Amino acid sequence: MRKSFFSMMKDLTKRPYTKEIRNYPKTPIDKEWENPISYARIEEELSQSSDIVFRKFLIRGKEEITCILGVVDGLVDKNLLDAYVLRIVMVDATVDPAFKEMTLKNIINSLMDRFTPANEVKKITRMGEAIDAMLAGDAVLFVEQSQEALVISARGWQTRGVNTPQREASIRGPQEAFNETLRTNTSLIRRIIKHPSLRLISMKIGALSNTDVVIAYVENRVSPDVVAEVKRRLNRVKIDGVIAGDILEEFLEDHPYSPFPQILHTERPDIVASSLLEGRVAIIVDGTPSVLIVPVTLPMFMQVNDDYYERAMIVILVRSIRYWGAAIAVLAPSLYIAVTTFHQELLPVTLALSIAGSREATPFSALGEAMLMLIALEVLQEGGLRLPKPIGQTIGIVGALIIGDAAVKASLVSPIMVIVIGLTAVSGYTIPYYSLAIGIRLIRLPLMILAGTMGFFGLGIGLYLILIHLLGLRSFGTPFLSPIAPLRIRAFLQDTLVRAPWWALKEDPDLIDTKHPHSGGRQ
Amino acid sequence: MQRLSTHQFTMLTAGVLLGTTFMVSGSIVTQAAGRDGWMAVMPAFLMCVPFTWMIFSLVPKYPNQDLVKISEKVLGKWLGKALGLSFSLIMIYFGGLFASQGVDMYNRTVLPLIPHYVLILGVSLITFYLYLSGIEVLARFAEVIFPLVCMALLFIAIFIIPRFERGELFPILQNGITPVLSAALNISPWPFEYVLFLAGLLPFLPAKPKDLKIIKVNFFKALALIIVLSTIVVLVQIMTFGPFETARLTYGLLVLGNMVEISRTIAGIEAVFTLFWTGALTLKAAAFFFAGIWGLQSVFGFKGKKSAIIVGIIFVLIPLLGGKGVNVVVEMAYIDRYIILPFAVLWILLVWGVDLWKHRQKSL
Amino acid sequence: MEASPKKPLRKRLLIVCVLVISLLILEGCGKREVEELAFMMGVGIDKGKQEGSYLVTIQVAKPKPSGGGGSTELEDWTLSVEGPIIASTIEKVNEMFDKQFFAGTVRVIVIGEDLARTGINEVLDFYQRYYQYRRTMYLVVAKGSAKDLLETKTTTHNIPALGLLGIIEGNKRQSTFPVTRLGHYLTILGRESQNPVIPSAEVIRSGDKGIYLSDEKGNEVIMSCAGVFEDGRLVDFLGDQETKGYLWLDDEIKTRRLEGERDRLKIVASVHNSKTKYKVEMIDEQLGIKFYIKASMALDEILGQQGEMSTEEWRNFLQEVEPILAQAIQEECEAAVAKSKKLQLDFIGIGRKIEIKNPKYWTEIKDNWPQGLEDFPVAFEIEVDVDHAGLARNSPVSPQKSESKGEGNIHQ
Repeated sequence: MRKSFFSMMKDLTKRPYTKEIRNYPKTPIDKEWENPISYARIEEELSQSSDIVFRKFLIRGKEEITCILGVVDGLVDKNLLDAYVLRIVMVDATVDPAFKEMTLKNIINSLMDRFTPANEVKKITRMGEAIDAMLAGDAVLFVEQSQEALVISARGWQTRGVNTPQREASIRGPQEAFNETLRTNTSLIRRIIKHPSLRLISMKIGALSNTDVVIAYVENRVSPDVVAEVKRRLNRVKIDGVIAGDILEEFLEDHPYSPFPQILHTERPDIVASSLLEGRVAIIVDGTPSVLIVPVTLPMFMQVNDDYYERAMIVILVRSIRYWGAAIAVLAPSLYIAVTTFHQELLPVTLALSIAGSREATPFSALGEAMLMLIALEVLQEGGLRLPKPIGQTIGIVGALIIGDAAVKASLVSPIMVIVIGLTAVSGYTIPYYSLAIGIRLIRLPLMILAGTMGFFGLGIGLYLILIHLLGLRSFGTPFLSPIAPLRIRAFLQDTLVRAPWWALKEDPDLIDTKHPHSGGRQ
Repeated sequence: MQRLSTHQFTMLTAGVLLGTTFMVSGSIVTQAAGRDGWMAVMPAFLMCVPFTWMIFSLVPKYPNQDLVKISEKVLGKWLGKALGLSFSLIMIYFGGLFASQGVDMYNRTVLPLIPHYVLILGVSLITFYLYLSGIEVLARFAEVIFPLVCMALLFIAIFIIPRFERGELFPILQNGITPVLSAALNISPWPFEYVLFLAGLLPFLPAKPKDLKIIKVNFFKALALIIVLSTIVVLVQIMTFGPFETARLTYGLLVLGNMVEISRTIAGIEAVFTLFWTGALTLKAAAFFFAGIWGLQSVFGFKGKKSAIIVGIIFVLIPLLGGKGVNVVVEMAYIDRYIILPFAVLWILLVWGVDLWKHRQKSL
Repeated sequence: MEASPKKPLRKRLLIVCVLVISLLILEGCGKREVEELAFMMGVGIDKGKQEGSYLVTIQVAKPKPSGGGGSTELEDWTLSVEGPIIASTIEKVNEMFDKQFFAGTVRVIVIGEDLARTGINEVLDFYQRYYQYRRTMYLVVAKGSAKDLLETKTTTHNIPALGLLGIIEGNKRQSTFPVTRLGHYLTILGRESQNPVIPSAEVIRSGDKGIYLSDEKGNEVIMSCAGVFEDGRLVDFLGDQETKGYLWLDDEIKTRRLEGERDRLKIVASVHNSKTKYKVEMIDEQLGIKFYIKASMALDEILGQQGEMSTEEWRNFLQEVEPILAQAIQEECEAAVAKSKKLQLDFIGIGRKIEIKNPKYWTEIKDNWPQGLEDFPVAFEIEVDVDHAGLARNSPVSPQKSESKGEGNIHQ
């Protein structure tokens, strides 16, 4: 690809959902997708894969007809197939008079109507359908000389059961989490919202992975514009494989170069269900234990399902602690730097003197010290993240106790800096959603540099830039900071910094004001 | 075309009306009116009411047009264009000066050692980012910033109470009403800065006729809020410093922030307040910047952002090359008094009057 | 704005990046780490030896570096520099000291008596102008030189300036001396008819004023009384009684101990609460000012009262005591007014009080003000409320003796 630097930059700065559609080169079989079914062609193409099994057998009706059952090993329930397909057509049904009447012409209809006692059987005529069905885990019953086939649903593969949520622990909420199977996930949602207005629209994404994606929404609650826009953006996604649904996040979000997440993902069905009732859209992807929710606002990332199960009075405390925690996580190091290097008048005299005393022997500036500690903190976090649990604890002890304590004793950093960074780290964990917490870690460093070079003025510049950025963000047309700005007073009072008691919540929470989601809210 | 909501209009109005006037208001009004200076705030701000009323009365006749375009239609092409051009120039020049004054505030109090141009670049950076993000974001910015500024002012007012001197407000009206009126005249150009901004803001106001009524009411709400707030700020200064000292201090409010003591540990927190003052400052500077570019766009029919870049460079150069410190304060006062006030009054009266006369002619 | 949404981001990113980076590169000085600073705790200003020069004493707190754990102890470091202008003396110190001075922590300004007598308004200009100083600093006049006062290590405080601050802040509810902040001084200065008052402090040795220290060579600093200033010059010190009278009239009394005496009865009461109001009204057929003082107290000590009393007798006794205490207050107030009349300086602010209550009358007498004070009628109406007398009723006496002497004394 030879592109000039500028066109490359231009390409990079385009919003993903406005990009041109990329076309993938097609394999030979792809071109025959619309052709009538030809078993010979399919066998030729697919029998190279060891997991694909073709079972040939004869049906002795009026004529002797060769049939083939094609399945992917491991994706089908073998017992089911043996007992309800093969056994019936080869043993049990052979005595049936209707069976004896079968000819090449009526075999498909006859089999479908009488001899395949499975709950989902479908007649297909095209190559593509047959291959798709097989690879998706259905059994396909070919008739050698016919251009039709039967799809018999007998999916059955190893799944992880419905477990308790791993990442989003909850105290009072239901303890179910999504798993990797699409149908299980949709069923978990359906079990909560038992109303026909819950729509689950299916589509497939990924040129090679053919991943099932379901768009879920509640009709009449959701703005039709948003649903249309979700569909439009999903349709534009052209990639080889959707390995995990989280990949789609980058394709769908409005502002790809923002540190703030504009799509919420959760592994809890109750969160998805309540979002759907609020009029949001959920995107459920096969093979992914988390569900994407759009549109979202910043306050949503500070809410936890327990907020809604706990009593409203308690939520006032809990939420305010979370907001304070977020503020400390963003600001604590930069405030400390600004105060100790520029605005010492803010420090009480005794504190100033004790900081001065403890810093007397340390070699770095406050900014350098803070960056050092922060990098150490990030290393510890990242290092501890993927370690097996027993070793993870060791990392914690080594990192926090030994390094921290020794660094102070060796006069490498001042003890107060250790406190500040420790506080920052702990406060960061009060942010419920990891994606937001990471974004906040990202803006912390620039803020520190600004505070270390220009004091409160620099900090102010940084904070205002972030604020303006946040004010300009939209998620599927919804301003990211709503209901704070633009102020929606009812939504602001009833479910932002505090939560109104359930009986006081108005029916229409007015949380989403989507405006032209197509263009990100601009006209 | 982006539109503001009525609430956004209120907050934007309040934010631009207030600007950073609270910094200098105490000093200016007490110079003229002594201990009765706080009474000067209300008449001064009320002076802009008839002119905003005239502007609002033009809106239904010329929907989706700012005052520059309206005056082109009413007064003819060339006169309209000349007025529009001078409108833009005033806005941009004054906006630049305004940024410069805010920087002066920093240089005097909390960060005297940071070079002038660093502060100017910082403030301009936020202003441009606001401009690039659009008027909607400016309105939302006002929605967030104005309540914060209000809270900061009230915070100071409450925590300075232990420093109040007894009886500084009395006797009331010792020298009669004349000094109060002359003080009011001194600060009366301030609301007209906003009136000029409003002249450019017209096309972004909510379009429905029903909303126009709400907007008129909301304008009065915002005005009342600002009057109350400014009066409190002046009152607090007089009660803490006494009239003589209030007049002597350049930025009395910053000194007030310096004097706040909460228990024995927390003191000297004016550095924290400057965070909020920066917000108020950039809000108003950005408002002038927007208004200046709207004017140019209406006059020359510019589209896109090329003009904005050039204007932006000029906008930075004005405070960079212009004076510092008290020069800026004096120059702003001159422009306020001898350019903004007469220009706004004449322009609006002219457009409104001629328009009224034309409609009379037609109906006759 | 309404420009195409297709490529705003690139421009925005570019502009933001360029400006942020340029801001960082252009970062100016003004940065000082906290350990590079010398925190000034107090400033003392005296007259220099040369004519027109000042001797500035700077008191700096140095933290004792403590290796890990434990609280840092403070050490003081005091030096004095003589120079013609105050602000420039600091520069001289910088030539020999590795740290920058930080003035934001100065809480007390001590002014030497000599300097105070020649004028302090010019001296204070620096302190009200330079951004690090605050208007909440306390002003103190030293009896003697400010240098001596700041160099006096007391037994309670390592740093004399902090000791002074402790006395002012700790005892300001115990109203025995006025508290004057820089801002308050400037405000009073701005009133045309009032003279500012600044509390005074002095160094005492063991044995002075009836105070004996465990270390016989040791020194202590006490704050009492106040100096009256006219046009920035110290005119005279107020005595103890006059200071307290001034505090009564200025409604600055919060809590304090009040002594009253009549015949052999001596009582001490602690004032909980007091309120002073004033009115301009006719006194002896002339317009004058009348102070209404209301105070509620509790008896702390009674000397010379004998015998056991029943509850009713006790109530009567308390009512008898009230005028004694009122008399004590009145004496203090009268002393202050007498001093004011003698000095012909209106440090109580009577003129200002007239202006507030009766601006018309004030314009009549304004031109002849502090002089007119001399025969300006001042009256008092003092109301004392004795709430209780602590945990006990009568004083500890043996019942036999009280009976033998008894009766007579009670109703004296």
